[in-house]
Amino acid sequence: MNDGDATEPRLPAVELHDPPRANLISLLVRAMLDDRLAHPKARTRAARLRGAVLLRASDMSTMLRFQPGRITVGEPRENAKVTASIRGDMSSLLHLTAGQLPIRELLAGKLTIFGDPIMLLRLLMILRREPKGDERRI
Amino acid sequence: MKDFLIERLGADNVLVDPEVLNAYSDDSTEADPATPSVVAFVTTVVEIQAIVKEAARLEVPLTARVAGTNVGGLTIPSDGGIVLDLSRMNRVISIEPDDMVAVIEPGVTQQGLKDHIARQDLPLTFGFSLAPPHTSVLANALLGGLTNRSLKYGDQSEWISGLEAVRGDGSLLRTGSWALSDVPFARMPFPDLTGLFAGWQGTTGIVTKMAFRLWPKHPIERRYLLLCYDLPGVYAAMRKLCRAEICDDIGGLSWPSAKMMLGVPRPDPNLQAGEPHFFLYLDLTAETAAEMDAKLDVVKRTIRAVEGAGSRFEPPIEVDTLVHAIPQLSMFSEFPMDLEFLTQPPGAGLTWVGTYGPMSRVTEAARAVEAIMIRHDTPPLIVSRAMRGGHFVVLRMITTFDKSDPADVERVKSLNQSLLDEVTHRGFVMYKSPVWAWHRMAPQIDPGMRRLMGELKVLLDPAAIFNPGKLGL
Repeated sequence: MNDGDATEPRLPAVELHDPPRANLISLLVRAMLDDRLAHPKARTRAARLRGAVLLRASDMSTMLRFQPGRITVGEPRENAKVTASIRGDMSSLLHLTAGQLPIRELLAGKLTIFGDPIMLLRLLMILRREPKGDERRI
Repeated sequence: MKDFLIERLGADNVLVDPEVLNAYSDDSTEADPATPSVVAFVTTVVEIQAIVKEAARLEVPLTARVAGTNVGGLTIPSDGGIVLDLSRMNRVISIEPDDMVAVIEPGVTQQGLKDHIARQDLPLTFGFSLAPPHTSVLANALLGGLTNRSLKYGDQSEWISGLEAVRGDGSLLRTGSWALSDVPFARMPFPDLTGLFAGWQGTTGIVTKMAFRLWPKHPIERRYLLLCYDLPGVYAAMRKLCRAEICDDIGGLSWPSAKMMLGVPRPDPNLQAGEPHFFLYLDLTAETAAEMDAKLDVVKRTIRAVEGAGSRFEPPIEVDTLVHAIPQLSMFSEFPMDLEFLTQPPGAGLTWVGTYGPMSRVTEAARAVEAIMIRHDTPPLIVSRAMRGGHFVVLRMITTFDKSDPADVERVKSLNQSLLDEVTHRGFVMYKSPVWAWHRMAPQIDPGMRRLMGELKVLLDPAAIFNPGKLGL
């Protein structure tokens, strides 16, 4: 996963736990991270992040653990320590990561957040892609 | 025959190198390979007529092909036969915008026709199969394949408004209105002789031109995904949306498809806790934003009605949003698609049992085939699509496998046989049926139809040179 450029921050490796049994939300998050971490800014941000974020989309959960040199993605262990968490339906979470600010979702109760808000904001900065002008939602 | 072909076509257009012949001997499926003695590239109808006459005289089998991606072994030739490669016959001969018909040669690909229409800036489109861009439009139509316009207009063979074909004696005929009119506008009102070539897997002649229907292209096009958590909900939504007559396409992919697209080539066969079961995709088109909004409103009301009956869906997700969030899924956003997770799987094996069947029985059939696939330790990858206004439905069970592993090949053979038996028993019929499937279905097929098929084969191909063995002919 490292690109070999010594001037850029070391790319944290994204490790997916047990790929054949990984749930859909874990795979989606892994795909997002792989995409976003191709960009130096996101790499820098991810390399500095520490902690565990629980993402719950409908009835599926995944845990992102930011550790030195690696990010692991996989279903959370029972009683795992969580720095922050986001819950919502798939659509709201996708819109969130597609770059839309989640204010409307938060107000409507479609998204709920717990824990360290700074951690969540930093994660959002990594995952966000700015929307194209013609993107819509229903 | 080789000398004849070289003399007629030139040495550059006749391949005899064993390594090259080997490439034409097989496809992605578990079907047994067979090596031709020669591969000939043709570019004119006159060349095809001459080759057919000579092959009939010498009784040498001929198999016509373009991309060979039918996933049924249908272009695997006879041992020692000739492969007639039609990929260089790739002209879009004409498009009549007011009649919405294109006349195309066999080698015209999905991408080629799309580009041609775009270059002419015509407000027209056609239906795309899920096959890669380099595959033949004509071949898919002749084989009755499905496309993203099949909900509105039926399987692609219904879009053929006329054909030009070479019979087994080398003679040429045209079918449909084209037999009299210079505009191939319809198959009727003459007897529908197009049916002597459509659905016959190349066993009755070589189709050299096809009049092919195009459809209006609307300025607003959107695709939505509906994640559904139960099979009855999937098909209830499909049926209700069909009757609302607002969608251009309603299809569905079962959960393993998403995992395979996201880089897990062989997911565990069991659905993980909390995961959606099926992804319905809806294609909507409109002339105006107001029309699109009205259609979306109907979609939402329909889904709410199905949810009211106890099913569960996620709110609709526009595919553009999904692709923006996860660019890896861009393969799903535009036709023609190159679904590499299927076309280039590890182990290079791809096979399916693809069937058309009654909408009334699809929920139970899907449940049954899913259970069979799980029993065979296979991710239950199922494609479904409402066809022809919802009068029938596609149920296709797809498996990837390792062609180099004999045990894996046996696994898929056993699996496919079980799947075919299960769906046939439920009234579903396999399309693009491979040789093994035809023989398995044959005892249950009406004997009168089979007898007439045999008689028509003799009439059209007395020397039995066209793609022998397919359809039991």
